[in-house]
Amino acid sequence: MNSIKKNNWNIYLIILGILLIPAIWVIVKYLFNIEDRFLPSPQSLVDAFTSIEPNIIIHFLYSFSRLLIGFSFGIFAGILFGLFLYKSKFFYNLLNPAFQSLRSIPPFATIPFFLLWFGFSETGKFIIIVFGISFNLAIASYQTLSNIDDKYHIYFRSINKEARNYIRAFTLPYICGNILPTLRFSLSTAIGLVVVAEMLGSQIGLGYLINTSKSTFSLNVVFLAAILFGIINFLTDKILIFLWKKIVYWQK
Amino acid sequence: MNISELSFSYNKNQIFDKFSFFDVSPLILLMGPSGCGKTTLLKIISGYLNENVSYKELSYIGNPYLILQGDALCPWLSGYGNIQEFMNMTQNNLEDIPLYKHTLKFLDKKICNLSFGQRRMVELLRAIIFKPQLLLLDEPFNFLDSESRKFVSDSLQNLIDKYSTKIILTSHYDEDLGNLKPVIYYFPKIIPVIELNKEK
Repeated sequence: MNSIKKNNWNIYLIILGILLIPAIWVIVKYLFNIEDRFLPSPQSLVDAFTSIEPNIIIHFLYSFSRLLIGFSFGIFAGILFGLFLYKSKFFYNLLNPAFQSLRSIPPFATIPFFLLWFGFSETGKFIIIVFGISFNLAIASYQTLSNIDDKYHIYFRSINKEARNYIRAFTLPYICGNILPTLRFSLSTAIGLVVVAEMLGSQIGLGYLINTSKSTFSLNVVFLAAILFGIINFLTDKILIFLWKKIVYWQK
Repeated sequence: MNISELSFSYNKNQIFDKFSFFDVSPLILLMGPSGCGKTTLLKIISGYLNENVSYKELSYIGNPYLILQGDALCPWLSGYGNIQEFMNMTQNNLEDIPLYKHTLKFLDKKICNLSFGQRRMVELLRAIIFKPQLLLLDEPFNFLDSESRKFVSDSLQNLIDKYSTKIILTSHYDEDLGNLKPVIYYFPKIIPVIELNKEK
């Protein structure tokens, strides 16, 4: 009975949390009579939703798909790099200084380079995301494998082998079991990269809408696009957690 | 097994102080209270612990295979997977081992779905299949029911008889051992350990 009561309270709190920000928005807007050019009304967002051409759902789907594709390739590239660095001490020593240097470059600062090289193409946007997240994932993968549980070191030592010799059976699943926090962090980075890449080099997408709306002072469109990016963030985080739990089924 | 003047300290606690030990028996049981240094000695022999370790001699035959109390199985693989992925083996090898037949009913299940006792049996089976020359087992009979202990002890005896494996194991209880007849040594109750007391 107590746990049912506790669950009900948790649900009420979640609903309250979701309604809190819109409620504060409405109260501040109408209580302090703030002008639309500083804080748009909820009605103006609804008007924007229905009036934008092409439909804002199209822009949403473009942004969402760029994120999904770029993020998926970024995960693949990052984990692959990490495995490669762990597998070969020679290449780790050779490439690590470059990796650490490239990793420290803010990904947003590299966007103009990719726009110059790839123009407005979708390939360029995917590469921006892959570049932005793969180095961190590679380093995180390598670090995970460098700190393997002692019990596995003892086992591999007992059979005169090394963990790096068993990519499919050991190192890859081991990375998967430990990398979810880095993946969630990289997801936030990837969303930021999608926004900026679309703002600077796209003619469709939520980032493009934000960029064009600022020059026409259409703050309602900016707000709407920001809310939709928030929904993308929420959805992709949930999808990531759901899929990763399926992949690392042994962690209950 | 020949250990001469082994010293080891951990966190400023001297665990072994010029400790010496010599025995050629194929099966040795180390007994003693918790925290007396049994597991530490196995780790030192295996080479896993090598910091703050000094000795005049530490010699044994073969590469030691150490199994501690927690299992080192990959939970994402089945019992078969944990064996087949990391070593070459043939079906003939398995049929000779009493423990294999006892574990058949769950060897194809993922390790993450097995109980502690089942995992322990898979881990021991994996070691027995490997046929190490020196097998170090820390409390191998933990989590096992009496029937399972019998299959484990029969399989360990097979290793000794057919492949001349030397086995050093630790346990709190000598009645765990089934048909095994080890030479028993007792750790003293206080550290540092200088020598072990052999059971008469």
